[in-house]
Amino acid sequence: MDRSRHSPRDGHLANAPDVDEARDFFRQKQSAQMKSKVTTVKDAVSEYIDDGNYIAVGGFGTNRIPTAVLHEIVRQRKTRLGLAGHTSTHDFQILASGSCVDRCDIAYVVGLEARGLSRIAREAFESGDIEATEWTNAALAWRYKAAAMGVSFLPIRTMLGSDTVHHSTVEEISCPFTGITYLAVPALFPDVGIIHVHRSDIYGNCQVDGIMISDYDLARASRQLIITTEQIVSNEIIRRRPDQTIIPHYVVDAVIEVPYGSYPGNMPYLYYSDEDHLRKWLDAERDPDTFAHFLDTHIYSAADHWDYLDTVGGTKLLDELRKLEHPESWGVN
Amino acid sequence: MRQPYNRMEMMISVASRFLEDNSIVVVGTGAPCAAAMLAQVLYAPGLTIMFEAGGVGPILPAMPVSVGDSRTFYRGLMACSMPEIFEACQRGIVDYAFIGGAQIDQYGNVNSTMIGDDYDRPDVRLPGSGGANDLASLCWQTLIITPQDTRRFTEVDFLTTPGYLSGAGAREEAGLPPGCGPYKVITDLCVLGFDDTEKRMKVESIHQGVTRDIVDENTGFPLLWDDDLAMTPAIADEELQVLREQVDPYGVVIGRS
Repeated sequence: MDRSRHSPRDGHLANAPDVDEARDFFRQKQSAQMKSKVTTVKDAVSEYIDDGNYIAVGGFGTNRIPTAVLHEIVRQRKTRLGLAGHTSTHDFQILASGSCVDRCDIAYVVGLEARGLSRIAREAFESGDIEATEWTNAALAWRYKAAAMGVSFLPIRTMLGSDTVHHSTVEEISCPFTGITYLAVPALFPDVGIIHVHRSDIYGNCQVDGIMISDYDLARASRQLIITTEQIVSNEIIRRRPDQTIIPHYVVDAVIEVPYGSYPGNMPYLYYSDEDHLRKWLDAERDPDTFAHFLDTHIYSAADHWDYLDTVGGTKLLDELRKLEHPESWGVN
Repeated sequence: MRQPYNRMEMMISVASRFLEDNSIVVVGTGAPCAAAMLAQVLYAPGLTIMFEAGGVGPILPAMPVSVGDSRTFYRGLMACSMPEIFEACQRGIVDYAFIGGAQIDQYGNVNSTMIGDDYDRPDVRLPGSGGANDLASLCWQTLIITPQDTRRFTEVDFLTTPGYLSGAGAREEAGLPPGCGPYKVITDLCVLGFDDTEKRMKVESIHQGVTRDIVDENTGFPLLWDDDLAMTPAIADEELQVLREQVDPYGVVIGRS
């Protein structure tokens, strides 16, 4: 392959990987004090997310996602957000529905995996409304990792030889020891990270059950971090099993208790994804009037996440999703 | 009389035959996952199935809808992270990547980013690489499962995921780890491999009822043909039974073809 294809790039580097500036910033935050960070979704979004900010969402598209915060971003009509599109499926669909995003580092967007493509998400890119820069899932995961390590880049062995490189912000480098080729990917420090967890204490010490996806590094890379949690537990519960703590309080800025907070996404060991609702969302996107009404019902007219849950079926539905999450109970009624 | 089957069931059944026992495979959503599950029941009980979001070695109770949903680590061996999975691939420990794709060219390069000739104003925006580029860059052998027609088997509008790039030696020249690349492409018409000298697609076997003309008519580039062209062994009733009753009883994947 023509090696010149690796030189000029037209991707856009959203945030410069300035590790010394980041060190100063993290030092200034002084968030090591054990103080309560409990707040509301509404206040957290208005306090920590400004128009134009670059945000990153934890979980995996329809799995362990912070739905309540995403809906509130739409309700508060935040605009010109940058987004790390690291398997951004339903999370991106929500933000695209509110036209909140104007630039995106793409690893995976637009699709909802086996469920099909989101029309509203596709149109946001096809119209040119969102400025796109291309990556891969590993590349974005490692960009978070570089930031979490406090280094300005990491060498990686993927993306090489692909067209993805021409629409990205990577540089080809040689190993000083062996001479082999790597792509250097820049550290990614999101302005705001948003992660949903199983339990947190009031200080923000968080525990997650099941896969971590990229949230270990995302939590540490984020300049501000909003946590929603299924449950706020006492500090004593955290201290009984500190080996299960994956996010420490000193990287957390806000903690909000949101039971069923990943709905309509899956929350490991608690409830499965609501495939019917996700299907309805995709179907509603086909007609602008239908979709406007759909958004009004489920987001704009809903005061909060409990209200949203009421619009989709309330406790009866949640019981079904809890049962779906436990295959061992499927044969039993 | 043999049971009838649909296109998706056929591709999954054929694809499942290529995974060796006691190997490690990272699978994508849908057909690749179904093929790996089928292989685990019929041919490769020691197969370790991994998912890029962090699930390792589950006893899958049903088809996952997402490669990150909780079924991907249900009664699993480990629930870890995305960096852990991709770093295992980069370390050289993963035998197979198993992916799908929208467009594929004669070197096995795959496009899942956009259709059209203007990147900034695509005719169709597709999801992007996800983990496909990473898996096909790093795993030793890549299996690709996709229906075959001239819309899909063509020049790629965007090279998302590397096959052999422009031919023999091109992956190494680009800096990718040596010694890996596409292994088989499994379609609804045939099974393709890659020849040693040019790394171009070569038909190895055609499915029951398919002719060379049909394969050529559904391919947008010239194909190489194996001198020992074989007939793909027929889909066995056992394959269909396990696929329908154990792997995908709700028709999440096989019901959509």
